[in-house]
Amino acid sequence: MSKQFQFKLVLLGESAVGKSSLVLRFVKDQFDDYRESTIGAAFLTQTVTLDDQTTVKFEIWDTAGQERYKSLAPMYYRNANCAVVVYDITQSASLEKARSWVRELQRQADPSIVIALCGNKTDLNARRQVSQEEAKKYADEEGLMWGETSAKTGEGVSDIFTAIAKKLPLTAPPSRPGANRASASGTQAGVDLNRNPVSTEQTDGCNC
Amino acid sequence: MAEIEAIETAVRYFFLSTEEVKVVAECVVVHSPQLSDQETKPVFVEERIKRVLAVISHQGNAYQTHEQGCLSIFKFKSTNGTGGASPSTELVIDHIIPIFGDFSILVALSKRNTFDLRNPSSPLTRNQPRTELRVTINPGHQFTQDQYAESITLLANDLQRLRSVLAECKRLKQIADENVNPATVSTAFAWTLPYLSTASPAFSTIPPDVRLSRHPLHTRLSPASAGFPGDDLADIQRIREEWIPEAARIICNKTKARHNLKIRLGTFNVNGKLPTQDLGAWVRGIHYNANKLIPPLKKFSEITLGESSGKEDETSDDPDVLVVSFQELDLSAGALLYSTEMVREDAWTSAIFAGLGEKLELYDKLASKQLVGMLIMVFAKRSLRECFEDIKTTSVGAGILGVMGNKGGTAIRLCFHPKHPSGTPSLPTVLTFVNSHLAAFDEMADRRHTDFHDLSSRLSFRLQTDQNGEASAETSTQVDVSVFNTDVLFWMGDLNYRIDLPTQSVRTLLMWPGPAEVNLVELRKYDQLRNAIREGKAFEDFKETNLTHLPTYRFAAGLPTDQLGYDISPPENPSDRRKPAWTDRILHVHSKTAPVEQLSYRSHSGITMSDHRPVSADFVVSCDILDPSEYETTVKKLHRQVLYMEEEETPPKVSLKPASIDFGTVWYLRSATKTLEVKNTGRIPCAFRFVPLEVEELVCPTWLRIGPMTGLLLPDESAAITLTIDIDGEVAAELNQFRPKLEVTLILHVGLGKDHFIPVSANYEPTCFANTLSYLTRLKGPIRDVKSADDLLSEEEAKNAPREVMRLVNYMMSGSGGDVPNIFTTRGDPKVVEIIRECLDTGKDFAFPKDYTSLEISVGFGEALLRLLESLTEPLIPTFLNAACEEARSKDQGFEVPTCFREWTGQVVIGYRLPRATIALMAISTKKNG
Repeated sequence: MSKQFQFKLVLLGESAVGKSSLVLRFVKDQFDDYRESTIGAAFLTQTVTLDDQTTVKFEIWDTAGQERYKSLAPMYYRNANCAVVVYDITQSASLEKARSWVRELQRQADPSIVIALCGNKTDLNARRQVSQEEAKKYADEEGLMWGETSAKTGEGVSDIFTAIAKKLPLTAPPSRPGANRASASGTQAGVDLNRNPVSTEQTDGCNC
Repeated sequence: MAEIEAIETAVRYFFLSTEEVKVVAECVVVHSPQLSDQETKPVFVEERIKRVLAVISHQGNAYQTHEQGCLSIFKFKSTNGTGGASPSTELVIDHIIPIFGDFSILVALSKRNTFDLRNPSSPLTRNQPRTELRVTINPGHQFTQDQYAESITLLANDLQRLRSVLAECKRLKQIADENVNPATVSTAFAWTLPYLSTASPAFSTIPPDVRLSRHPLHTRLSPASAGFPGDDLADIQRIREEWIPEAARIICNKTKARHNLKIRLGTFNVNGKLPTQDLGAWVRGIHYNANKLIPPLKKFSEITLGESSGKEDETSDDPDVLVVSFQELDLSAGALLYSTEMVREDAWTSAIFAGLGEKLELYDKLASKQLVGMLIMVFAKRSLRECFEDIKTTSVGAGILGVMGNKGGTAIRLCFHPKHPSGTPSLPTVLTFVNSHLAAFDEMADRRHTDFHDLSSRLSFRLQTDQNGEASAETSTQVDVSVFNTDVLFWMGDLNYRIDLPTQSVRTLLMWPGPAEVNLVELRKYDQLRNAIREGKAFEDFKETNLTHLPTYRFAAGLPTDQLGYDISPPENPSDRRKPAWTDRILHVHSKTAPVEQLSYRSHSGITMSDHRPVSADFVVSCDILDPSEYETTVKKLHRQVLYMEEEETPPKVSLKPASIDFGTVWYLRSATKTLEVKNTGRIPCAFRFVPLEVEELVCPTWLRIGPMTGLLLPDESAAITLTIDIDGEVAAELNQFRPKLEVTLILHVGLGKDHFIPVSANYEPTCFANTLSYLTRLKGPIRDVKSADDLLSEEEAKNAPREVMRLVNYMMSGSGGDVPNIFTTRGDPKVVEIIRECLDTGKDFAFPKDYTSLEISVGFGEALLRLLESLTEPLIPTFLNAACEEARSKDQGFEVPTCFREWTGQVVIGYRLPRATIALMAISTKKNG
């Protein structure tokens, strides 16, 4: 029997660490060298197939990283099943920022939220400022998932989302249908043919 | 199954967003012409034509609370049902059957399931699926005349879908049985009409409920907030439906040509009298006794494009349409039982024509409708006669037993087609006039509300509509539409609403010397109708201009009266006396497409034959001038452009300019405006709306206004959104003591796309206005110098009187202003007041530009003091002192009034009446005792 899970995922992290690029790579397998800063929050979906029986559909909110919009982030991570907190391996300050996001999530988000720490821009390894060991150690201490990615080359991108997809069904209840953009998932098509099927089998005299 | 899904989608697009498609099933209708007479050999020809069966539910609006359903049957334009074209362009509605009453649907195994011996070679028969079912639909009622009386038989074989059809029908029938009132069934199912009348509801000639215009689109969208987009698909559809006709009107009317139709309305309860006086003042607005309570007629610009009559004596001031309504035309007992209509109507018609005087020959009587004592008549200029079409009348009784007609309403509906430059009549503007007489007596306000709601649901007109634009007897249908399905609705009559004050108070206020506007302001607060509108009990969506005339009831001839002529019988028992009241009213509500401006609202005290005084009002209705065929073509084109915007693969994209908005410094009562440009940079049309941070919250704080809140943009199109900061007293009261930087991030949500953030900021300069007196007395210096709570004096150190009040009083008493009479009753120049306020807030010396005269400045000070006191967030004079204040008639008496005054707002009267020194001292003494 096949199972489909649906989860709300939010991307957080400092401005310009590559959150939108990561999502673009994951959802469309594309990359833009010049991406405008996100001023707002974009909604995308992507489905991950785990095996023949199980698929996980992510409803992804890609949020603005700029400090001035920080107060709006709670609107997007509330009810989220998982959060990907992104930092830039070439900017150690961005890991500091990631830490503060993790603290905020631990304090204010749903207690069952799965948090993944993600070091992006491994294609710029030469300019690395954040070592794998340092990040890994922090992730282990806080009980976070951890991985490194390059949105530019695609390296590690599907791995981290697949890892989250594998972990989620075990730990988190799937998001309520309709709780988040009921319309986009097609439930609002207006025609629900399975509603109240007539119980009577007879076809020769149902007069209502 | 792919095909049925495409059909489902097409059916869904066919209906407006207020309707939900519950279930769709494919079926066929069998035509069996017996013989083909051209053939020598008789051949049995069975023709199976595809149909689509759909159950539609209507969720209703604010005015219909329960769900309603109907069964619709679609046919295909091309007979074979597929024709290669997509179902969306192929589907045409064939029947739409409301589910109520004796409606029934029967599904049985088809008899044709048996082997047909007549034509064994017919491929259709041979391939007939074994599970073929016969669906018999019996409408059980005649919703509209000559329709649906006969049952309809269809064949289908999708058992599962048919079951769902049955279940839905059953459910909706049950709801209908519990809720639908047989008396109002035709208006209850009025939502089905647009689907019948034309190919697409967007082209309907029946205007939507005019009351919806008072509920802006954004309030009708699904609840949404940041991160929770709500029901995007439904919202897109709603935005689109509102956008199409609006955009089409703009496109088809590039020159913005309007026809300004001047309408004069009058209502008069004649108390059974026959006309014995000249009605000129009422019907023409000529004033023999200039009444100073009435403001002069406001000038309006005349851009009338209509043909002007060659007649010399037709002036622009003459109304194009004159609508007069009477109540209590005939009070005789017989009037309820047999009709005396014509005699009375003729008498009053003659009186109206007589009242028109030399203008008489400009007008024709267009229509009239009488129900017992209620009569409504419409006169129109002869030169415009041919612009009025589809004139309908109706009436409903609401009196004894609900039908007798001693109370109730009569109504007239007109379609006004101004001439388009091409010579063809323009798309119509629908005008509806209701004359009603509601339940009498002070304590019967609730009964009046009920009467109003009863009339609202029962007053309807029977219209002829042409299905698919073909005006043949076969396709034309008669339908009932509500009085609210109009562009403009005027509702007038003796509505009988009274004033909720003891009779003595009403009379005292009416006779209070001084400006009547001021006294009437007080009286209006207790007007039952005004309060019912505010509380949403009746006439909720109607607008009425402020009453500036005296109450129009009850005057008496031959009975004891007071100075103003109001009845004071019985003299021995003052509490039994009829209170003067504004019983006779004229209200209106209009759609966005037909803006209405009211030019006057007055009573005519010179016409004294009745115990009521006649009331009149002048309006200008601005009507679009549109070529109907061009409009329809444009609507269709726009419809095609935006129909499938939610199905595109590429997400919608917009760009915003500027990315953030800083208003700089903003001040109390100084409106500031900025523009945000939203551009569609994507490849598909997109719909946008502003959403709040949390569902149920406001989209923006009270100091900011956004317009429009929703929109639809074609690719490359942009919209200018206006952001306005208005700091009124209420907002200032919140901001003054904390001096916050005003900041908010607006969230603009694009349907099926992103949430965009727009930071908005401003610096607010506090003012001494809109504070509490106790706060003002704790200021060390000007209010602008306060940076934190540390800059305030402690409560013990507080001053006796606010410095700001002292500065104003000192200036006025120093003589620099001169001794100005009426300093508090003359309106001061707002600019002078603003300069004074700014000086008070900054602590600078008063200085005025040279172009202001000393008189203007002095009056400005009077005004500034009044405004300052009025803006206080606590009342100035305690209520228990009101009586003492009312008694005070001189400076000395004023001083004697105990020196604490709070309830300011309720007692503006005092400010106007007492010498200025007194009022100043009152203010100064406040602190000591307060």
